[in-house]
Amino acid sequence: MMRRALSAALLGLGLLCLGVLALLSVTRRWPWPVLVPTELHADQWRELFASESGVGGVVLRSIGMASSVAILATAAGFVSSRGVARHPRREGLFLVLHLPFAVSPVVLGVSLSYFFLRLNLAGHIVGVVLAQFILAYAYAVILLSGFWNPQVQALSGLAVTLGADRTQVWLRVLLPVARPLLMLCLLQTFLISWFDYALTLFIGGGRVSTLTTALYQYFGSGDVRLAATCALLLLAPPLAAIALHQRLLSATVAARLEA
Amino acid sequence: MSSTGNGRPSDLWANITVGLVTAPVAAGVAFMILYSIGVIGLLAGGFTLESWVQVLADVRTWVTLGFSIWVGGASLLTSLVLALGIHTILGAAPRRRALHGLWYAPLAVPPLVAALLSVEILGNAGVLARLGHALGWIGQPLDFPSPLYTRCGAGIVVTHVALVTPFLVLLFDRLARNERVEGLTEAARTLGASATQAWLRVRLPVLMRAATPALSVYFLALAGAFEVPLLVGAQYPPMISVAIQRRFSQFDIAMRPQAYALATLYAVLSAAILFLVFAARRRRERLERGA
Amino acid sequence: MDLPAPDLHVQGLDVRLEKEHVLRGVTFAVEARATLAVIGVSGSGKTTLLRAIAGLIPIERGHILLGGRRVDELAPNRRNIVYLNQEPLLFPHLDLFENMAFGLRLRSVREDEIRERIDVLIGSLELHGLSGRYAHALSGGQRQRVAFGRALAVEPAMMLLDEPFSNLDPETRAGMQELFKRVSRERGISAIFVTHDLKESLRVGDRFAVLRDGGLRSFADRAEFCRDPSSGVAREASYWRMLTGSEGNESSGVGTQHVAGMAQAFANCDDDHGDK
Repeated sequence: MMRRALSAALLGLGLLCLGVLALLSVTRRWPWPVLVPTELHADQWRELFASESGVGGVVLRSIGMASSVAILATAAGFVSSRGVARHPRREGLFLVLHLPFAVSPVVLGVSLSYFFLRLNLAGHIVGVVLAQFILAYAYAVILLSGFWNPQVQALSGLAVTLGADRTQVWLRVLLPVARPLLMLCLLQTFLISWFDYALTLFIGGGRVSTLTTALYQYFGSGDVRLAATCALLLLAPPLAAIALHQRLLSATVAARLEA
Repeated sequence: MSSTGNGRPSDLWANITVGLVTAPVAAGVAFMILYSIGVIGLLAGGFTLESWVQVLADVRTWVTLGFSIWVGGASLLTSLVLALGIHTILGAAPRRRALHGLWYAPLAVPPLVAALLSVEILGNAGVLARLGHALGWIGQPLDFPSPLYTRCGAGIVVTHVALVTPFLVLLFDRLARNERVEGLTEAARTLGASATQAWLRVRLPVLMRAATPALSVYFLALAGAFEVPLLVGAQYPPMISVAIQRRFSQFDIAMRPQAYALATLYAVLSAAILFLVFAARRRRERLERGA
Repeated sequence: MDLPAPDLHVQGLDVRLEKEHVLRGVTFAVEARATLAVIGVSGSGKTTLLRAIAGLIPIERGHILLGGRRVDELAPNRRNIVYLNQEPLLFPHLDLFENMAFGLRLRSVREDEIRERIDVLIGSLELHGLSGRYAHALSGGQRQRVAFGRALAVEPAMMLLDEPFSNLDPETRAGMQELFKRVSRERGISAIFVTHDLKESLRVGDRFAVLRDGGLRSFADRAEFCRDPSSGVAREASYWRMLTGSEGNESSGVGTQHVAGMAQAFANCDDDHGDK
């Protein structure tokens, strides 16, 4: 019963949060001390995307950047992680790979901004994507290193003895077996970029607008309605991805338990 | 590149990988150090430790660092206690099902959104305050005891706890499977341990032992957080990331070396903490293997 | 010769897991200081039986009496019945000595007594010089001996062993079977030893039972177990006799040590050694 109460409490909290954001995004006024605002304008969303606020463009830009970071980091991380996993000093390498996460994202942004300025990447989407890639790549290598265990090595060896060449081993054995972990990595690295604010701020220099910078701008200027809208837009893709991915995660966990 | 065993091409590839990650970080730190000691920079006048002296002698530096450690520690500890409790109540997820999907949903919430929700729910004019007014408990917004913008950082801690606790519940769930905690608990029970004894002598130490590296990274992330303290923190004292950002954003370029000195100080401290935790774990593992 | 009074008495045990009726009306007894070997194929309910007796899963119906006292309503830690998992689960945060002393520390036994008892166990289980080692620095056989010693240390009224040696190589496994027999005889242990391996059951058991389709059938003695068609012993014995007996010859290359051992085990079956 306690389990159900806990899950109910979490669900209640989640619904409260979504409800508050949804209400804020469709109301023009929420005067004190009204508990639930009554002046709701559902057409505000349509106006928003049609208007000069450019929220539509910001959303597309954010999706594009996060997808690029995710695909690049996962692909590069998968290939690189094998070398790291097999390295005789892999413990030391893992320590070093954790460094970008240990130092604050502000420190990372502040320290990199000079170089990006010199390379004419500051203030550009490419610059922000590259900066986010550093974090995402490190994360991908750490996460995917766990894939290269003796069992996978045995599977590769088996495929070779059955006649597979190197390409076939990758395409027919390694990639399919790694698929659940790769999906997880894609999701996690997507979120690293999607949620990023500090690197976008420092490397983007205020000229690259993403949902996070837009949210902060609207909040800072007192436009809670637009801030809440950006917040809902920020939540939507990851919630959908987690809903899809959670089934994958459960299936993977279940398969491993039954093995 | 070699696709088998431990050939040199594999090692080289690994080194390149690590280089791709560390080179930017190392270059960034090197740049900050050189700027802060006056070797490079717009107003550089040659080697000087003046910025460092100013930063280290400034009491605000240590207040900021201490405050960041306090907030990071309080957030992590509170989340840890909550997560352990929740994990214990949820118990072993049935063999055919992983933890309920609901517990993954908080992963979708970024710090900025969490901070916004804190303001709208816990703020003086937030949902809870309005509820309190409706119930007749408070009259004006300022009557509501909001934890936000307080000098003790309560609002930051509450927001962080809401963000981090679900992560820790998932972490403990995964670690409990890997470490066979349920089996170990059963073994302890049949050896005579009560439920409480099994929790204290088996579940807690096994989980904490396995979780220490991840927890240390979480601590550093919380102490170095930016978005949440930016939105719900008091003006003073600021947390370290906010303090660095403020100094960096000042119009007075002459303050830039101090900004870099502060950033370098924090980078070195956090790297040192990470290194110490990893070194301690390696030492423990070596001792256990060699004993 | 009078048989000693039954130590463990299980009556009409019904256990349901999720929606499935895994055990139905299971009734049997284990004599004091004897090992009941329970044979069953995968999925027959062997683990469920042991976990139910240990109190790790609830029972739907039935009684469990230990030394005349009902224990089925007691929590697992109050039954004085130790359960050994198929895989030796050692506490990773404790070294070998502390793993074995775990149960004694719960009982607030004096430090010098703990040291004395564990040192004796380390000796009899051939774990000299490994006191400070942790689980991942021990071999499979060593881990299994530590788990065994941890259980022996608390001097339980009953031990439940769930295919404890199935993950070991044949040679280590044979060694562990001999060790179990020796130590359980020395210490007068009562045990239920579950296995799917007929030869292992004949090696370690004093009494025998077969678990099939949720029900359990006990046999009065070794000879009855060997003769009964449902145990499968007769079928196995004739197979091994065929391999090494009149039909076989040296030049066939079949006369390996392993095969000879198997044939010997089944050949001895009809002799009720009356070890206990």
